[in-house]
Amino acid sequence: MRDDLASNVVEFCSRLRNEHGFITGPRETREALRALETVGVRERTRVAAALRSVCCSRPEDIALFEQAFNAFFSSESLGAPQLAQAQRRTRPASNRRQERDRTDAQRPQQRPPQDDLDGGSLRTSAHPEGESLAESWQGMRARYSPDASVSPEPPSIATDGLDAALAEANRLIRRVRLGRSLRWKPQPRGTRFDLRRTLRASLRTGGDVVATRMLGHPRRNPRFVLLLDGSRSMSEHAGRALQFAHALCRRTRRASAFVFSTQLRDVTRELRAAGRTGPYRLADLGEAWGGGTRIGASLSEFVRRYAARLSDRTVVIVISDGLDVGDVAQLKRAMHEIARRCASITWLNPHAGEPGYAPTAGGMLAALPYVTALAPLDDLSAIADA
Amino acid sequence: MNAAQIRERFSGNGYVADEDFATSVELMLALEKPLLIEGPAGVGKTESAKVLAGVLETKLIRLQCYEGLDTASALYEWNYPKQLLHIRLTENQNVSLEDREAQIFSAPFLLARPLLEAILQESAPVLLIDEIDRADEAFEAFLLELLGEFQVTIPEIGTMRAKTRPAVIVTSNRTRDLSDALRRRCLYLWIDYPSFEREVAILHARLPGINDRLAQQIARFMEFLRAQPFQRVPGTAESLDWALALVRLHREALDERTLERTAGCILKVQEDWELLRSLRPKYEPLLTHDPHARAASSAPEADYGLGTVRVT
Repeated sequence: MRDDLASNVVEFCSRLRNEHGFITGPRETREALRALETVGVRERTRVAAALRSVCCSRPEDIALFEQAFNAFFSSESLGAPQLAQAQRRTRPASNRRQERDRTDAQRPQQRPPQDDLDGGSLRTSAHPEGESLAESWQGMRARYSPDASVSPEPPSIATDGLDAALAEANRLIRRVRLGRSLRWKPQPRGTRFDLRRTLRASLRTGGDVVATRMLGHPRRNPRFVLLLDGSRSMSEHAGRALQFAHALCRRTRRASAFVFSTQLRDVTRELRAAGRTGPYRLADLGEAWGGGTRIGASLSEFVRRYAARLSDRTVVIVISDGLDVGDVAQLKRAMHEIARRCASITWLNPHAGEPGYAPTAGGMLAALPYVTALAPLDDLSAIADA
Repeated sequence: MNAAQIRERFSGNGYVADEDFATSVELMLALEKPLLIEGPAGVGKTESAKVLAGVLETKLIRLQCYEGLDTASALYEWNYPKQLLHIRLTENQNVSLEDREAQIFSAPFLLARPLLEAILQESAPVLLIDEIDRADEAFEAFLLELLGEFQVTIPEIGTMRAKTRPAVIVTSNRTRDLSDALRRRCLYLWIDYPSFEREVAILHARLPGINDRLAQQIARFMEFLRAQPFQRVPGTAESLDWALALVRLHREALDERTLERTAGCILKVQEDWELLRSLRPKYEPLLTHDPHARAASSAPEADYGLGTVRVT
């Protein structure tokens, strides 16, 4: 019985690692076993809570964990039979959060009754319960309009000119200047006495201070947030945009990238990993790719869920053509929120470089007052100047 | 201590712990690993550490993180004025340079900051590292040595090892992503906004005098508010503040006028106030419309606590 349980837990942890990308190595597996030793295996909810505490390490993990746990431990006996048939209930806490995470328009509709996390209907974490009935009609139109019947091309990163893009990203990172941080670091021309080092140095001269050591504020390093329009109207420029995002994410850890079409999705890790082990391509992004454009809804979702990524040292880069079928007022509000919290917003519009271009599209017009610089996709110097 | 006991003792200290929380704390004590708590602002992350110290009847040592936090204010610092004085006072004594150096870099000249203090304790304290996401990544890297081994190296003295392992709680508001290395060294707990029942229980636990109807009304109203796109979504801390304000004002129920006057307890941004105003048709059913409430609204503006103010 013991052995059964142990090997099941080992198997479960390796599944979390392989299928869902958790960071459950041998140490976590060992700790999962120790955790079960502590809480016992009598109650299913406590086993779940213990394993969750050990295996999860970020909020996004929780929904995935619930799916995996329910799928794994309902089919395979845990070694303790009462556990397998114990009450099967979806976890209210995480459901509530998923519910809140969705946009308001989707909120009031009922969810699929129960147990939708069990078994076959596994979905990605970005939309755990699939599309709800209340999805606003823009989304519906985009997804079911005649030309959408051709499924969108999977998002792939343009590989030609990648080296140039990496070099460009490097240049960008170096060129963006945000003033100095509050931290004190030893600097020869600092503004404050470094008592510790001064004293230490004075020992060599018998306690008399001859040479002073100083502290100063080091430069602040910028963070980058990229918001990429993945809608169909952008498909022509998507490869180039993703290439830039990939280059930036690869060159600095202080970048995060999001893709949106009718939904928003964090793709930083995928972008960073792309090309390292597999092809220069991202996995299926669901409704964050190749659909219609709801810039307003996507950006306000970004504000709601990821506002914490914005600070006065964040440089926001939006790559979009500004052709929006959604609510313009919502876009305005979201832009206002983002502008308030970040250092600058640069809007890279692929059409901006074309002769005779004027920002007349509804979405673009609404966003313009909050944008520090509007530039064509190829002109990254605008970001640094902003 | 098992999870049931933990829940009981926490509720004895006015903290309503759910099963996930109790299990995480149980594991944290059993596995001697730090516990990383994340969640929206104001759901009781910091409070949980304070209560844990009460439950374990031990000292709480708190390190508040901020941008620019460095080891000198987190770990230790030498007492420079004392060192300088000592050098001056022993100037004329015939002591070798090495001895003088050893003297001024010894324990009496060391100022222990929270992290070192936690390591030097005789009995295991609760160490709260609050809002780790505000400190920069360099500091996070430095914390790794501490959280992994509970030892600190001071070049002038040597390595100091914890006599007893402190119970460490790390909280984060997710203003930035923490590194995987730090996450791997911690158990993880996500605290969400409380459910309706839990919020009522929290209100009762924290404000024993509150009447049940008001507590339910507050919890119901907060549930409604948290579903709205506010910029600063009110947490449990706000609902406690609000409940306390209502109790102090001797309100038995929630009505429009009271809400208007006390909205500052729950919404702290001007835009949110405007949004609340625009939501009025939606929240109106949640408010009370009894004759007393109307009587209150006809009272003169300035005489807010009419008839309920005790002058002593």
